Amino acid sequence: MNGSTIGQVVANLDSWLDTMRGTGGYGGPVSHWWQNCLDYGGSGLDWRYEGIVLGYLTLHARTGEAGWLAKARRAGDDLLRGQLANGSFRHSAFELNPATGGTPHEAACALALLHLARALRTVDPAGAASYLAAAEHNLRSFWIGQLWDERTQSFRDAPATPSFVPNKGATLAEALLMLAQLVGDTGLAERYALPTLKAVLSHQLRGGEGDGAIAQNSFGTRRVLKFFPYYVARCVPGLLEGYRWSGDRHLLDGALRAMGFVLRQRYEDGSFAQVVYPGGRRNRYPQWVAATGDILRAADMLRPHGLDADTETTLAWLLKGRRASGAIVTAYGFAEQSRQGRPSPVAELRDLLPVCGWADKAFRYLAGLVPEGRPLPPAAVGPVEEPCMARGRRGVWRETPALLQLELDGVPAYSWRKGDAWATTVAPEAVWK
Amino acid sequence: MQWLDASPFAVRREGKTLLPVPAGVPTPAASRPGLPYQHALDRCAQLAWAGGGQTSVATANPLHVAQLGGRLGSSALELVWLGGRPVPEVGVWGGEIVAVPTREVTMMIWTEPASQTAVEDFKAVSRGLCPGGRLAVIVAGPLAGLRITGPGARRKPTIGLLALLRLIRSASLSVERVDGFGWAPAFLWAYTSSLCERIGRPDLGDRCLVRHRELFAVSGVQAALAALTVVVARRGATTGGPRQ
Repeated sequence: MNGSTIGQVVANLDSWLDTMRGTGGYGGPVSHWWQNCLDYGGSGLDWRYEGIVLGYLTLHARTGEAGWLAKARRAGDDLLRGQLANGSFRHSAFELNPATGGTPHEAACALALLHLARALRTVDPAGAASYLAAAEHNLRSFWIGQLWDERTQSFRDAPATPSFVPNKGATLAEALLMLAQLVGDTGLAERYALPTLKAVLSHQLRGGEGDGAIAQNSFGTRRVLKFFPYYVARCVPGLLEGYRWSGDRHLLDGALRAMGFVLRQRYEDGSFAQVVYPGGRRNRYPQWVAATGDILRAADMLRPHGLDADTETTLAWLLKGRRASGAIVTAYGFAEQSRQGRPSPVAELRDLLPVCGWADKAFRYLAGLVPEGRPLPPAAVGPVEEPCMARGRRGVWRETPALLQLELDGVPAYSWRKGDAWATTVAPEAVWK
Repeated sequence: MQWLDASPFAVRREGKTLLPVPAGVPTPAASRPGLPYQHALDRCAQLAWAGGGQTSVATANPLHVAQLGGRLGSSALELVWLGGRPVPEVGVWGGEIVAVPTREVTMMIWTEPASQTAVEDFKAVSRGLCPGGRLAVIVAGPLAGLRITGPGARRKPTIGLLALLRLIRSASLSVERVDGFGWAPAFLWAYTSSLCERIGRPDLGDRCLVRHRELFAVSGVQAALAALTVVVARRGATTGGPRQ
């Protein structure tokens, strides 16, 4: 895949992201393994901001064009405007929106703000300080204030429940280490981030076929032995950041093993299983498309540390998800989530749904591949219309710069006007959580 | 904000307007109602949005106030408080709080009508509906006691679905749609899921749990058997209903 093709894909994604903005920021419905959020389409101050802000910062760094920095700042300003007095962000729970206190989403937002603060430190110290203060407020008040568990030396997923989710811990550790660096407070690293990364490693399998796999979560001492390749890959950046900070080779070894596990779950077409269970059983569908950007990014981060892997097929899998709108589709095989049979050639509504909080993963990764020192080409986008399934019925899926719509038998069954807080039409076929 | 001052890179945030925290929502876990209520509250909010115009919320449950306020932006809403005195601290609610509707609305959301006062409350609630306006009522179904737990769950005995439908029809409102959230087959799949987990087949357990969610929302007759029901009714464009 040459650089100019990637540049075009990124320009189109940027154009699509612009269509997804409403009053409070980037909005749109969400499909996910755990739950879906089709009714609410208003802004979501969740992990979509990590990929969006970091993607724009990367474009600024690679092309030197000021417009990308302005877009990163615009996204950062969404977070500032949507921060609550207790440090949390409004509507920060992605598939559970509109709710607040989303994990790992708020850590991902804080991480985005910290990157923005670092990028602006010399050019606009006052602006940088406001982004830093917002991130610090969130990390100290919400995460440390409400979720730190002194006894287990890790962060809970809910204040009242002894629990830990490694991929969330890894994202949070990444943010805490960056905050520690920016404010010069090594205590944040020693007291919170590094113990949390140790907890991540304590959830990792050693030896055998599952070597490197990281259990999805735990309640108290009970590990939930479900291994999501995508989420295992999400642990890598945090572990690497911990290694950079501390020089602890266990963290690097854990990251390399994690990616080794992820790559062993790859199919010939470059896609990954959704969940792997003990004994090698799998639930393959839905398979992420846009989100594989995070897996590719994690792999690239490990190459300087000895990872030798060909990821071209996965990049091709991701790019197969491109649509004329500029978006990249969410998944393949959602209709088979409960049966795990062979997906129909006609995609399901939740597969085709372009979701900011998944497309941002592709955007961030691909932004890092655009040619340096050259501006992106103008976006070349258009409307989308393709066949689609919803609850066993065949219909038509449409996307324009102003609308997402599913039509069944000539009648709209789902309509969301971009920028609106809620869908205008949600027929029973589109009622999904 | 001592810790902010300690940071060499920080600015004071005093004087900056941060959004208020919804009352009763101090933690992530507490901020989310259970799945039936997520469905029901979202359904009401979506209908209110789609209808445009003025919306009021009639409830005696402070959690519903915070949840609907968060969904719809409470500053534009009128809250018809049915919980008696004292009116609780409802935090994020920035709109007017009244005992009976003071203006005509295109959408009235009524949550968990109490069985003892439902008839009286209905008169007050429906009085504010403009011709063509919609009433959405969240009412607990036969499985509610069995399954609904967590924040937002009902506290007092609420009116049954059939009694509610009689009330609605007696006021010449036409029922447009009945949606149910959480019914027996869905719960059976959830139970099967936990069985699969226990016998060491989490892969099957996850599939069953997905099936549970696929079957969770029903409409029409099936909705009558659900844990939680949303009845949507509309006042005729010319009928007066109980306003006189």
